[in-house]
Amino acid sequence: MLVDTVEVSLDETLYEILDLDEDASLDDIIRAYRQRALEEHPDKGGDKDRFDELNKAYNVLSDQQKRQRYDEKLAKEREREELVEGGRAGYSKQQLQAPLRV
Amino acid sequence: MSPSPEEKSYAVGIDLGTTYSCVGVYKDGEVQIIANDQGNRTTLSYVAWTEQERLLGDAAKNQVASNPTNTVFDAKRLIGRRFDDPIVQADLKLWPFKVVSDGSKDDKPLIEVFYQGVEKRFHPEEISSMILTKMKQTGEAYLGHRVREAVITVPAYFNDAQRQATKDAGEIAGLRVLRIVNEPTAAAIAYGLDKSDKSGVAEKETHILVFDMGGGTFDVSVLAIQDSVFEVKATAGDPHLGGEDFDNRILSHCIADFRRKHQSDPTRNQRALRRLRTQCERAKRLLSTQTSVTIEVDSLHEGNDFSIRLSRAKFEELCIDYFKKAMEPVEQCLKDSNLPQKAITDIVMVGGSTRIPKVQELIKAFFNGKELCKSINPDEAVAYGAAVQAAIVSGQGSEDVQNMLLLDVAPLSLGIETAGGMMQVLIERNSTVPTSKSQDFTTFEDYQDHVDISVYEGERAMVKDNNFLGKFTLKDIPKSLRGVPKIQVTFTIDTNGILQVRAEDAKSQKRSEIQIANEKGRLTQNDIQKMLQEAEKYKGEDEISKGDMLAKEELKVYMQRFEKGIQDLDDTKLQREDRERLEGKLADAYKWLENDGLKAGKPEFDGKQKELQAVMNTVMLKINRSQTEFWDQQVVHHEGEKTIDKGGFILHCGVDIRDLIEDPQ
Repeated sequence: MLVDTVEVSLDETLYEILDLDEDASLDDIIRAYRQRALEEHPDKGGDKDRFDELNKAYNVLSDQQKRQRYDEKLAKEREREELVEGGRAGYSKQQLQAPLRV
Repeated sequence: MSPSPEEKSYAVGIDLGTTYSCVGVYKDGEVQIIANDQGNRTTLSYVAWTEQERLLGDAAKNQVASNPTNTVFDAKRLIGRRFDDPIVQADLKLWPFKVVSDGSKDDKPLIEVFYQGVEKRFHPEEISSMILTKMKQTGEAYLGHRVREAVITVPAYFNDAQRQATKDAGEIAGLRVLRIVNEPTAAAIAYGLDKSDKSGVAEKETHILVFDMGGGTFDVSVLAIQDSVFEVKATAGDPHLGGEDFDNRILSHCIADFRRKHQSDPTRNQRALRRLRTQCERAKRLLSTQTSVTIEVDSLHEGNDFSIRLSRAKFEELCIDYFKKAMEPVEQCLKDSNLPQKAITDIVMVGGSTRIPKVQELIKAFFNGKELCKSINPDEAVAYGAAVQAAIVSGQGSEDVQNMLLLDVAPLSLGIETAGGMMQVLIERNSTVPTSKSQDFTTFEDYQDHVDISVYEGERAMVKDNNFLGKFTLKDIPKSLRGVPKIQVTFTIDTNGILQVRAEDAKSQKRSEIQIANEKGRLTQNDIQKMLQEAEKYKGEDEISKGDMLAKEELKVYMQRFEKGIQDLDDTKLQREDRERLEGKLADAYKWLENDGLKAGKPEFDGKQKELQAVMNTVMLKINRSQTEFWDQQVVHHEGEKTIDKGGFILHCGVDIRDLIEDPQ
C-alpha cells in the first residue's frame, strides 16, 4: 500500500541508497541493508534522516510485490525522462556527476 | 549537572515490571543481574506507606496483609491511561488501594494513600518512579558508584502515552533515560548473546519469536538475527494480559466458593481479599509443577476458615479464554513479519507466566510441536538485554557489544483524521524507528486562518475506533482561497518509539509542534519538576531515617560504655545509692529502647543519651570534686537547661537535675 506513496526519484534510486545493483537478490538486499544500518543508525553516529531513507528503501525492496511495482515505476520514469529531456535515463546520479569529479 | 570526571557513573538496565522489577549492569565484559538488599534478584514492584515510613519493594509486600489500603502495586497497569479507561475501571474493583480521578479534563488517575495521618495522592508515574528509585539504589549499593543513567524497558505494545509516562517516571527518579526499549527486544538480546556464546557468532540469519508474558502485559515479537544485528520484523501483543489476570480468575472462583459455603461475602473485606489473593497466586505458581493444590486461609472472613482444592485442569478451565486469546498476537505477528511459520528457528519464552504448562502447550501446538527455547532465565532476560543496550548506548561496553545494533519498530500505526472521520495513516505499524513521514494538507474553506489536526494511533479505518492521541491547531495561516495554503504535517518517531508531530505552513513558515501526549494527560515539565522535588523530599526523609538509625546506634554504644563504667568503679568510689541510681537509669534506658525506641527518631535517641550522660556526669563529678564546686558548675555547665520557677533546673531531655543529685544542704 505504501509503495504508491514512494516517490520514484532518478536522482537517487532505492538501489543506490542501499548501494546495490538492480538485479540484486533478496539475500544481497538484506545483507546490504544490515551493513548500511550499522553505519547509518543514529546509535552508531549516523544521521537519522539518512537512516530513515535506508529503511524506506529496504521496506520496498525486501518485499517482492512492492519491489516489482517500484521497478515498473522506475522503468516508466526513465522512459518518460528520455522522451522529455532526451536521454538522461539509464545514468545514475553518480554516473552523471562522475565527469565533474575528475 | 554533568558528573564530575573523577566520579565514575554506570548506566544500568531496568526491567520495570507490573509485579516484579529487575536491574542489571554491564560490567567487565559481562552482564550482572543485581540482587537487592533482601538478596533477591527481582524486586517486587510495590510501594507502601506505614505510620512511620515509606517502604519500597519486598518490604512493602511483606506488610500488605496488615496495611492493604496503603500498599500500592500495579502502577504499570495505570500508567499512561485515563481514569475513565474501561480497563482502569475494571482493575479498580480488584485493587485494595484507592484510585480517584484528578478531576481535570485529562482525567488522570491518582492513587490515594494515608501517610503519617495525612491523605496523599500520587500519579502512577510517581509510584513507578519510586520503584525505579529502589532499583537505582540496588544498583548503586552493588556498584559502589552513583547510577545516573538507565535504559528502561516497556512492553513492545505500549502506546505513545504509556512510553512517555514511563520515561517521565525515570526522570522523576532522577535518572537520565537513555532509551526506552521494548521488552521482547531486550529478551532477544539476552537470547542472542547466550546463543553466540555457545556456538560462536551466528553468521547465518536466524528468525526467532519471543513470547513474553509477564505479570500484567503480553508481547510477541519476531526478530531476524544476523551477526550482531537484531532486526525486529514485527511486534504484536496485549498491554493488559498476564499473570495477575489468572490470579483474579482463581480469586473469583474462591470467592464464589466461599459465598456458597458460608453465605457471607468477603469482597468488601480488603484484608481478607489480600490474604486470599496471595494464596491464589501461590497456587497458580505451584500448579506449574504439580497437578493439584490446596488453597487455605484461616479465619478468612467473619471467623470462617477457607479451604479449597484446585486442580491444574480446573485452573486451565478458569483461564482458557485468556490462554487462547494469547495466540492471536502470535498469528498476527507472524503474518506481519511476512515469514512462513517454518522460518522460525527458535521460540523464546520470557516472563513468569510462560511457566504455565497450558501456555507452553498451546504455543507448541501452534508451531506443530516445535520445542520451545527455555535456556534463558524468563525472569531476568529482559533486564539482561536492557543492561546490554545501556552499555551500547552509553558507550561503556566491550567491542563485541559496541558492534551490536538493535533495529526496533513502532508497534502501532499513526495517523491523522481526514474528511469523514477516516484515519489517514502516516506511519505504518512495524516501521523501523527512528522514522518520520511528511504529508501535505490544505484548507477546505476560503480565508481559513487555522487548521485543527487530530492525531490517532491504531489499525482501524475510522478514527473513532482508534486511540485518540491529541489535537493541535496551526494558527495564523495567511488568508487565501481554499486549497491554496500548503500545510506540511510531519510525524517523527524517535528511538524510544515516542511520537512528535509538527505542522508547518509552507508560505508563512509558521510552525506548530506538539508533544502529543501533553494533550491527553501527559505530565507537563512543570509537573515532573514538582514530583522530582517531592521525590527529593522522600530522599530527605530516607536520609532522616538513616540519621535515626545512626543516633540509635550511638545510644547503644554509649549504653555499653555506661554499663562498663559502672562495673569499673569500685565501691570505695561509688556510693551504693549512686550505683543503684545509675543501674536503674540504665535498665530504664534498655526498656525504653525496646519499646518506645522502636518508633523514636534522632531527637529522642539523642535526648536519651544526654539524659544518661547527665546522670553519669553528676556521679562522676561527685566523685571527683567537692559538692559545692559541683553545684556551682552545674548551674553554668549544661546546655539546654532552663530555670523553672521552683528554683530548680530541668534539662531539655525532660530530666529534672534535682532528681539526679543530692542537695548540698
